[in-house]
Amino acid sequence: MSALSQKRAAGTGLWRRHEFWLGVLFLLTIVVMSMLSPDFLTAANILEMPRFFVEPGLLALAMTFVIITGGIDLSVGSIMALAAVMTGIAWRDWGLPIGACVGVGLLTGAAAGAVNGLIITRLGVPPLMVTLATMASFRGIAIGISGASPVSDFPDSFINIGNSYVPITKDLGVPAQLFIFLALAIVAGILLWRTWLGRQIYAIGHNETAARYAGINASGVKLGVYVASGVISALAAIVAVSRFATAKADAGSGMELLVITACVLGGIDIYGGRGTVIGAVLGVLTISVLGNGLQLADVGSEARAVVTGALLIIAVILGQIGRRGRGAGSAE
Amino acid sequence: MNLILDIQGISKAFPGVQALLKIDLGVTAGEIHALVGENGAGKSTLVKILAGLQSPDEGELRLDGERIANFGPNAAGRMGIAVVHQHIGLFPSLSGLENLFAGDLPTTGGRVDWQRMRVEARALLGALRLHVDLNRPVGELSVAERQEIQIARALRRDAKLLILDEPTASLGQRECEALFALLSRLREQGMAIVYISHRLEEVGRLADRITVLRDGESVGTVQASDVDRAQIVAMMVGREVDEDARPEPRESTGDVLLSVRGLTLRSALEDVGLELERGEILGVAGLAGSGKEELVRALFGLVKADSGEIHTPKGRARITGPAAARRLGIAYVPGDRHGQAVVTGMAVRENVTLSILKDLSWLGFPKRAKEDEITRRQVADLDVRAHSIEQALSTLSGGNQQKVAVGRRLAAEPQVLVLEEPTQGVDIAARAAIHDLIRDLARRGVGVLLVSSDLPELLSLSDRIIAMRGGAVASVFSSQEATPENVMEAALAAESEQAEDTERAGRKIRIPMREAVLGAALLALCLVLAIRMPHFADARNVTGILINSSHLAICAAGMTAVIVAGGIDVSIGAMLALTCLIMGMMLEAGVPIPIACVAAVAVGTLMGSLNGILATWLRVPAIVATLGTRSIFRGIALKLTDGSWLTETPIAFERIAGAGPLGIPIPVLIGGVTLGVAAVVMGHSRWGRAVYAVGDDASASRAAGIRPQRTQFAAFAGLGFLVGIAGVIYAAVNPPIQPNAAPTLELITITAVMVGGTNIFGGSGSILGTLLGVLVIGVIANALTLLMVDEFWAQALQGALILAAVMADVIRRRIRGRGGEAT
Repeated sequence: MSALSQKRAAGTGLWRRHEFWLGVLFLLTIVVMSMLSPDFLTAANILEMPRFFVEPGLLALAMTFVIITGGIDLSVGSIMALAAVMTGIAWRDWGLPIGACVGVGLLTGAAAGAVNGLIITRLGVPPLMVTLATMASFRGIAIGISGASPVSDFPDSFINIGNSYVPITKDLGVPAQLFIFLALAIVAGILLWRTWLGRQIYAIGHNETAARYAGINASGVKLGVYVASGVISALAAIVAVSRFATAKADAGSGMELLVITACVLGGIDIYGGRGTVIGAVLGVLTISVLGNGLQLADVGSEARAVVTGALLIIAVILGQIGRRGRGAGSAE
Repeated sequence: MNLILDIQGISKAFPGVQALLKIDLGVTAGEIHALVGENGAGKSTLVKILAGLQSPDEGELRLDGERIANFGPNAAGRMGIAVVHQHIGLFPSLSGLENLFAGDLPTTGGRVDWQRMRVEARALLGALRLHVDLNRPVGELSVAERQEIQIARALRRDAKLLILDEPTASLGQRECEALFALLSRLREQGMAIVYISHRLEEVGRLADRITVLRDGESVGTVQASDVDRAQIVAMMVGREVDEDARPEPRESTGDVLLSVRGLTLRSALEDVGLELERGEILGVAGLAGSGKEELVRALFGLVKADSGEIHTPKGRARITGPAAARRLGIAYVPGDRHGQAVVTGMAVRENVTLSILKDLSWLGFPKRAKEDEITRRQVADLDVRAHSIEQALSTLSGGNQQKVAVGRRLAAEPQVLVLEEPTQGVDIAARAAIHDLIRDLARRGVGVLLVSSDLPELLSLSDRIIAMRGGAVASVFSSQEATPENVMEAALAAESEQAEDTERAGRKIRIPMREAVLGAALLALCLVLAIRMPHFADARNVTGILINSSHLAICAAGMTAVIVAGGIDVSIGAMLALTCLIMGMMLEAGVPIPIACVAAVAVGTLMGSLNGILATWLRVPAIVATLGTRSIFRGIALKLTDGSWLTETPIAFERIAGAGPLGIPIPVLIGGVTLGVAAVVMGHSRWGRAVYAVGDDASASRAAGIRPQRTQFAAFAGLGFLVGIAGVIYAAVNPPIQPNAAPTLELITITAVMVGGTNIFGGSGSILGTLLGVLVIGVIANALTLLMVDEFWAQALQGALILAAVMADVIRRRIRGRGGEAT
């Protein structure tokens, strides 16, 4: 008989987990930032922050799924632009009710994601090239159909999505969009962590051929993941349009890099098969806090771009070292 | 007798397997010494040791009397050991000529001396009496021609010992004859030849002596003239098999679980039929290439059969893949364990339940208790040795991984189980356990289709054995009739039946030169534009197109090298902005123009080197590394000037954008010269050719003595250098200098390179193609401007153009890959 125990294999203690160290880094960032700027660790600032990280946060949730299957989606920012523009046009030119406009935006995202997914799965073109190309195309189309003119004058009911607060004290409130993010993060987390679909996604990322031989419809799952990435990008676009009260074709520019950085920092293996939603969320939080803190400390957006780029590279190098040290570890 | 190779007591063990045990072997000059044995007898391990790819645990090797030890593949070549491996290490995108010399190209004055190569190659092929077209890419040659190239390559450096591993495995009759003639000539010239083959007829004809290996031990060496085929077979299989037990005679019950009729697959299967009954173990014997792999693949819909029917008790079945098969109660354990059968990165539990996860789930959530229970049952039934069911599969031994692979299929409670090489690479205890398991399954009513190249395994388990040969069922034996000899006899291909292959390999698909097609398209485009748009052909407009394309052309030349080498760089727009900016600031500070220009180029080279270091030695995927540096470079550019433009640069600087000698604009001149130099470097320097080799097959290039990382690094650094030059031109043509310069340069550049026909996966492409790609893009952009189309549509078009180019490339590769192996 084999000696089996109920316990997990030795060596998966808390301190070994990437998420633990990321949490430490996150807290460290908070400490450093609060020393850099007195405004940082105030209730008002902390409650304001979610307004800025919800959009990259949503994208990071989708990107987590994409990267774990072994792919990548560089077009998320451009899909945001396209969805934003379509929502605006539906409102201004087609005179649809605002709910239907949101629907148009989400459908646009789904369609854009389907274009990516179909080319990747049916034609076997690498995701990197496909989404690099659609990154340019979607953005171009967005600028083209909007004629580079923004749409504003949205109704209050819509603008409230990104600008209202759920009060907790007399003058402080939690931004409404945080709840959208939290709900989706929980759904995504559970989906990946506990469902058969999540397990299939990990299996595909580890070894797509073996997954296929195990009877998993790998093409279907991957297509679904890219469509979901499109829909969530569109949702992020709607939050952004609402927050700025303007639908513009420059929505989400540069977002893909920020989001990939957050995911990699969050411990998602860029080669697929490993990573968690909690890690991705912590990654986004760390980057956002860093950005927010640097901003409060009067460091310009240029320097933040430098920091983001450097973080991405360092995170991947550290990940490579970890991978070499670990050989091959467990899936979770 | 002049003993060239003298092996004394070589042993080699791998975890769980004794691959070689105290092997002695001597090969003399002018001898063809055949090495025969079943799969797993240790032949390939011996070849790897001789090739310097592995070193023995004990024993002595002597080459021409001198003791050799601890040598690598390069050293083996230098010492005169030439190996023709079964899985060929050639560069498919490179010409035959270049393959002959890869890693060791002769040069004169820094330039690859093609003339000398041609002369040497002609002499070499002449001496070997081979007639291969050396100008075509090796990937387009037939298997036989590729092999000739390999043999010629192996013999290029004066070899004393030639080793051929299964050289005739994929050759037709005539090609075999040509090979035998060649080997005979080499023997006459005094070469010592080790010849490994399954085909006993040819071994008997060709070899002087034969050494038989079995289970890693040498059974004996005999004079080929003293023995007949039957005696060799007896030596190969005639062990004291402890698996001599044969299944009890089994009466047919007529209770058929699976029936296959007339399964045909072009050039692989011909009218294959079989019936599998409940509780029966049906063995499938056959050598590599006999069609047994294809039979299983066609059965499971992994390749589409041309015709044939599959029936189950539920009626005619359409099996489109493993998932469909599972629904019909048919499970499949593929032979390639790591590649196909298990997910090594996942836990035992996750592997066992992977196929049945949906059925164990409630509202999408797998029930963990149920999962644990099923896993524990399989682990206990199959006696999997693991600390925990949560242990990653990669930490288990091969035998235990195999048990988990079987366990996953059993968890789905199949009626039919198809096992491919179930005990390959597992130790003896695990092998016995797996055999017991298979018998037990059959007793419980499962129909087992056992595809194996392990004869004793087949004989001790199977109720009936089908021997396959040349894609067809050659004979069927009951367990009473089957003997190792007659099954082996039936499976060994009579040589005349192999002729068909020749034709298949000989069929070639001609693909026109990409550059010619692109050039014609460009010409046609220009013609149409010139006719439809009055101003298009104006000298001013044409000059404008060329000037505006020159910085792009320079960047694209560098990008071509990076992509051919297997990388990519999406940071060049930011890189260009930063070089411009640093140069501009120096100019504003009064630094002389030439010095500022040199500084720009130096800065570009530095940034390119940073990308190169990240993407090679630090192993950051090129796209991620350059996404990161893109952000860094652009951030620094913006920070340097706080986003403002540099308007104080001297007017004299803009003269760089003006006319030069002969009235040719300086940017066009610089662009032209750069592209010319790049074309020479890529086409005719050792480094340039190494770039192609590395991108084509990094491991083959390493075996040929090329350093992939160093080569790739140089490509990145070179791109940085060229971006520096492009920056100078860009700044002069598009004043004032601004930190937001060239926001989409990387995209346009990659588009141009792709349109120019460079393979995104590396290995092929040309500077000429890239130039044409740049011009196509320049002309289209110009036409859109003349047509007053808004600029942003141009961006959308660019994306579409990339996609079209990449898709064309993928489709082209598919067409070309037909008949060869698809990746």
